[in-house]
Amino acid sequence: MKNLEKYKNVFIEAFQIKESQLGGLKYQDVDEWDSVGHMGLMTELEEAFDIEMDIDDIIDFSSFEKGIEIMGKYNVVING
Amino acid sequence: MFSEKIAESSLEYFVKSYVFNKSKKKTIIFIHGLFGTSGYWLTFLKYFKNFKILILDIDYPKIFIENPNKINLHKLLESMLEDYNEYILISHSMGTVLAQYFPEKKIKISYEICPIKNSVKNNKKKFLKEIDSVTNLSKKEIKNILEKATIFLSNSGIENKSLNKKQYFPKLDLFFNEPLISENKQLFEGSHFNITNSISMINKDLTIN
Repeated sequence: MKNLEKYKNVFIEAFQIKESQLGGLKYQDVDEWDSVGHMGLMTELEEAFDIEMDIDDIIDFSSFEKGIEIMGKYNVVING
Repeated sequence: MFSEKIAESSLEYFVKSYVFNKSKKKTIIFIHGLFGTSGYWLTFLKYFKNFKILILDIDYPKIFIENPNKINLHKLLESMLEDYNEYILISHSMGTVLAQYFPEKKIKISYEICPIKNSVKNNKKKFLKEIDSVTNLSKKEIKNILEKATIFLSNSGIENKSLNKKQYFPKLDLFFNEPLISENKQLFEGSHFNITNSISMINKDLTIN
């Protein structure tokens, strides 16, 4: 599975949303992405990509696109 | 994720957990209060970058409904934390009561923010209004949970005096009164729900020690 697909799937499963909702999705745009949902999302991403994110990155992870940029810091390249 | 199907004898029925900074050696466990969630701690994590962080998400109403003695909360927590040799607890409000159920031998220090065990309740109506503004629960549900919480509190046993702990009280707490301030009890600028300055004080204390 490509990283992009894996990345998208984590969001889709964590927040029970459609793929069409992912582009431009920001923290608190959907009810499920609240502070608790954020904890779950971060845990699932760490597990899916076998990484350990810095606390600053966990806090800065404010959107679907920002997340792609942050994942790059951990050598997880996400592109189409 | 949490599932209703999980056996009621399992801790997962009452508590979910999230772990960050897994490779760090020293562990801090965060325990939120009655109407809070694990997300309550998110903005404070920047103060604890050098620690392994275990954040609990506690379903207090479920704990209250099941008698904590019946479910043996202490034993369930002991089992959940068996891989941890030592940890620091940071708890808030009702979380400070739950902190008493953690295996004390492994607690290096327990930081209690707005502890309520020996406090006197004030402004019940205002408290209800405050909670009503931050939850999706109906007033009836909130009252019901608060009634059960009072019973839980009165059954939670005697405070362990030998535990290494520090308590932080807001200078202005509209909802709880704690008259005694002693060596291990400190005041912070803030309120029962605005605890940023107490977190900053804990951070300093951890840096020194």
